[in-house]
Amino acid sequence: MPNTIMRLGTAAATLGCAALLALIFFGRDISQWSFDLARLQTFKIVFLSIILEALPFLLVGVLVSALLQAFVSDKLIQKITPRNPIAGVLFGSLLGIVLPLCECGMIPIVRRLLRKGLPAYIGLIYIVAGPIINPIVFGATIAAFRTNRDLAYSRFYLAFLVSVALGLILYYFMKRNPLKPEQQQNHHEHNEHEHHAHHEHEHHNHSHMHLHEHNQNGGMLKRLTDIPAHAAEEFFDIGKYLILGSFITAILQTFVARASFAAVADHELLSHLFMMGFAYALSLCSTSDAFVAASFNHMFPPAALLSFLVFGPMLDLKNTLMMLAVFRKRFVLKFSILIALLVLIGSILFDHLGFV
Amino acid sequence: MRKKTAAATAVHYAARAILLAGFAFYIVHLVQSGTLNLYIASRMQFIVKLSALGMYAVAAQQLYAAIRAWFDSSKHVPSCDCNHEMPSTWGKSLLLYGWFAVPLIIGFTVPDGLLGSSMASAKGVQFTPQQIVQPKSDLPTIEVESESRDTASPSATKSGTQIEEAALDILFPSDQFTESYAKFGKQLVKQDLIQVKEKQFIETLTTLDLYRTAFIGKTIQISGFVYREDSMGKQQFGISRFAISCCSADASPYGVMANFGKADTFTTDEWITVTGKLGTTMYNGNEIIQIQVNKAVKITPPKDPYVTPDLDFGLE
Repeated sequence: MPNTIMRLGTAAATLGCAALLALIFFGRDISQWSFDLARLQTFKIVFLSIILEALPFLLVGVLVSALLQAFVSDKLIQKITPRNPIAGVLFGSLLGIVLPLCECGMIPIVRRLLRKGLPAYIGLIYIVAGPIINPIVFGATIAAFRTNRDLAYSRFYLAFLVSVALGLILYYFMKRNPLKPEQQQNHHEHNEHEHHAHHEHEHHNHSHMHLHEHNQNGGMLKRLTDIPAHAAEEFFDIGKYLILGSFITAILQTFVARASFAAVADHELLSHLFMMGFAYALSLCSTSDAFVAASFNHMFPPAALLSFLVFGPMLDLKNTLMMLAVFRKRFVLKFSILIALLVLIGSILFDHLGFV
Repeated sequence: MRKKTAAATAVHYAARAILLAGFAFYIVHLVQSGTLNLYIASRMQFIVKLSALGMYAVAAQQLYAAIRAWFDSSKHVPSCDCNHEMPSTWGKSLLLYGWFAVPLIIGFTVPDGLLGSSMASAKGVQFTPQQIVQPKSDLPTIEVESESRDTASPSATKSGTQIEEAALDILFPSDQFTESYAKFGKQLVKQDLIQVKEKQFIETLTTLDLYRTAFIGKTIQISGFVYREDSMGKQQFGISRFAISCCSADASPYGVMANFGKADTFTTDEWITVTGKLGTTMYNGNEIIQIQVNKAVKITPPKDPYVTPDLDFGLE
């Protein structure tokens, strides 16, 4: 049940936050910790700056999603999708170059594409590869790592290799449709975007496809006027994860001294796992995470930063919650473990082969 | 029954319109009060302003939907054809909209302050910016090469400009990563007073640190906030600035150590301009550059308190 998962997800996020706060409060000497105005102001600046900076990207994401909904037909999607699995995997990995979005806008779009007839494995690779392999993120990463170009390029090579591997595994081993079965009766999926069954009006018995076509045939003006409405819905669906992510990041940045990370930084496996966990918890937008990673330069080995840069956009707290609203729970779990393993092995390999 | 749901829908839309407009208004408020600089790097500010426009448009549409839902209760008003669902209970709605109100409430109520020492000490001020371009292990080679300067400089004074340039080359050894810094350093070293300007703050500090042997004894002028750490001496403090690339979440502090007899006349986080001769000191086991201050003046913090990496550095 999606609403159960949503509830569990929210509860899990709350618990995570509480645990984090507890760690921050009790992990250090309380007498040293004084809640002064300066810290509150610092928290405010970091918290709001992430939200303000992500807003334009979020708006672009929801606008593209709305445009796709309105103007790209199912037939077109089916026509341009390659039949050959190798071509399909490459198509999914590189789709981000023409549809550059950060993961905030990705999941609703992918579900829309899947419903419009895109094969599941291609859609899923787009979810993981799209937030990295796109021109905007490329520009941001190069800007952040001007002096360490190897690391910037490695981010894209590794992301590409991981997503190709993932795609092939999914193509050969994924037997069931990863999408959740339709909830015709259940009206509580407030994270759902497309369940037309909710309409309690004359179209009561109509199928999804029917309504979809109905929509496709709507006038140009009607489609255009729908766009801001759609953007608003999506803003509230996705914005809550953005605010949660910014909140946690701001707390970490304000209250946890960077020096306390030093203990993990020296251990190879731990440094990778830590940076991956950190990327997961921060849920940063891939367009700005390179700058955060760059600020950890000289504290963590470059290979650990590579794990951060590749794993974060592919999988984080925010997009797990979003994926759980769309895909089956077991599938999301297996998929996440697979991504984590591939990224970990990949970045350790890159390190030992001397790429970073 | 239908009337009631319509009213509830109208309230939902109205709440959304208010929140969206709130975000847009907050951005406008930041622009007008000139405090957007505190949050967003200037090169990113344009798109943030654009997003305020977008939010206004969406808020207006939501308001329109609210009005339609309120008066036009007989007709079903789908927000869009894909029909997102509203939160199912009042409690959930309050939670959702309350959560979106949190950043706005914090934004409007907490007074704006500059990032200062508390953030700087959490992040750790970068006193040896040469590490950006030069991994630690490469340090000794630079020192060794620059020592040959002593043997080279007498011949430079004897002969013409050509040899002088050759001496500069020895003074500023470079590889592909430090080439632009060497070039910049050769310009700086000719100046009587080396001002660390806002535009190339990080690049200038990096150059001074990287080619410190060439700059020791030169007069340096730099502005920033006073930063103190427990391990500093009583007469020592850091002059720091935060560097940001996109937004203040990626802020990282850069600075230079200052040694001043009357250091205690300045409180932590106060903005000052200092002038003095460059030297070195040992700090936390590393040899870092330090300004021996002759003159220090209090200043008002600049409008844009951050510095940004100059992306054109070395390209001109």
